Amino acid sequence: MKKKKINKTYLIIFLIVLLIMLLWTLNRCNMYYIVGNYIFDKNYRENFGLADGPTRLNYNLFQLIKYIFTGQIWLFDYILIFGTGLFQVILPGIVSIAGLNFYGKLHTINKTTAYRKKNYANYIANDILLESLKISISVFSAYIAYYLFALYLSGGQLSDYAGRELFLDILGDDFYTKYPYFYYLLDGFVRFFMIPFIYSLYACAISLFANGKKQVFLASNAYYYGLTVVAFGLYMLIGNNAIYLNPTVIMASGAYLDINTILLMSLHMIPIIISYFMIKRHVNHVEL
Amino acid sequence: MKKKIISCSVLILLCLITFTQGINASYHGFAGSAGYSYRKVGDANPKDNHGYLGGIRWQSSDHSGHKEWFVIKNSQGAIRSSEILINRPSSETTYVNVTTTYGYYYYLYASREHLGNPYTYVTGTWQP
Repeated sequence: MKKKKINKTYLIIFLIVLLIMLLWTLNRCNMYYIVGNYIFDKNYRENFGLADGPTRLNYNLFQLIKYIFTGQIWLFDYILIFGTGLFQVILPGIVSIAGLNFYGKLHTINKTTAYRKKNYANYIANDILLESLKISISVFSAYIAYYLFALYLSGGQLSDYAGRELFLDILGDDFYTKYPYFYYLLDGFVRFFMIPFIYSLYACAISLFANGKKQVFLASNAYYYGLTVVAFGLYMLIGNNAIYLNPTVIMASGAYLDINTILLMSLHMIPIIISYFMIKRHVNHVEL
Repeated sequence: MKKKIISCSVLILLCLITFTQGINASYHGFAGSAGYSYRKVGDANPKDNHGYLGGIRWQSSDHSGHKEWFVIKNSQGAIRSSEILINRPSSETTYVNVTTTYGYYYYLYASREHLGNPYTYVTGTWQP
């Protein structure tokens, strides 16, 4: 019964992530603006179609959505870039569910199970890794589903100019132009597997010391969001170098020129190091 | 010989005037702050040709090292061009596929891919 409930959590995460990507795609093609105005603004509705044609268009909602959808030139890279854009803000918030899950496990029935294990340190470490892995697989699966959707919608058509930056300093400047479809898998692996894994791990490690789920949620997000705010301020003061102190940049690295991949990733190694020491401290101080 | 040089110079001058007037007639200035969401940076400009290509010359930004996305919309907010990413400000024209209609008015919108800097002031010229 318990196992079923947990599996449901991962399925819900998968569906939520996928749904956000799809809804965000519609936002970028101005769907909500147009549909909202069409429904609520009489003047807008009565003149609809006259913006660039002689005929007034009197559509029902379905026809209107179709009109907006077919009027857009869908490009594979553009769909992937902007459909996933919101995750630069919300991803750590979503994956901190791992910490909440783990906190629940640690403080309920599993607590006694854990203390009975011969090697408590291994048990805790494995459980945290497993929890983080499950969350990141859920998120990455949603990305893969969205990747396939983008491929279907665009027919694989790429924009003429949308160059990317991550990995190019390591794999060569022409890596993106040679293997664009593979590039987006690799980029997606970093953004939707590696990053969720790191911040799930971090949230789980924090749950070992937290007093309550609220504390787990707030503390696990403090690093990502706190550092982002600091980096925003620094960007205004010192300019582009501050992007290496901003954890959100890895989620939208294509916005900048000449990115140093290692430097950008090193910022996300800090939560792993902190997690390692937190887990170590916890297992050393538990009385079995 | 002197006559030939003068007539050649006049001819070149006339060509230059015609050419630059042609550019000025089609391209209009834009200036405005762009955020993560698309924001209007170019005022209503008429489509004055029957072509399928618009053009954008992103010439300056108040920040360096970032790329900028552009898109053309009609007055009712419907997208009428490909979304186009320009790497850096320059005087070169980036051409964009458009579904704009001759004689109607369009707007230019700009957007940043990363939320890092909420507003970036961009300027340049464009044609729908």
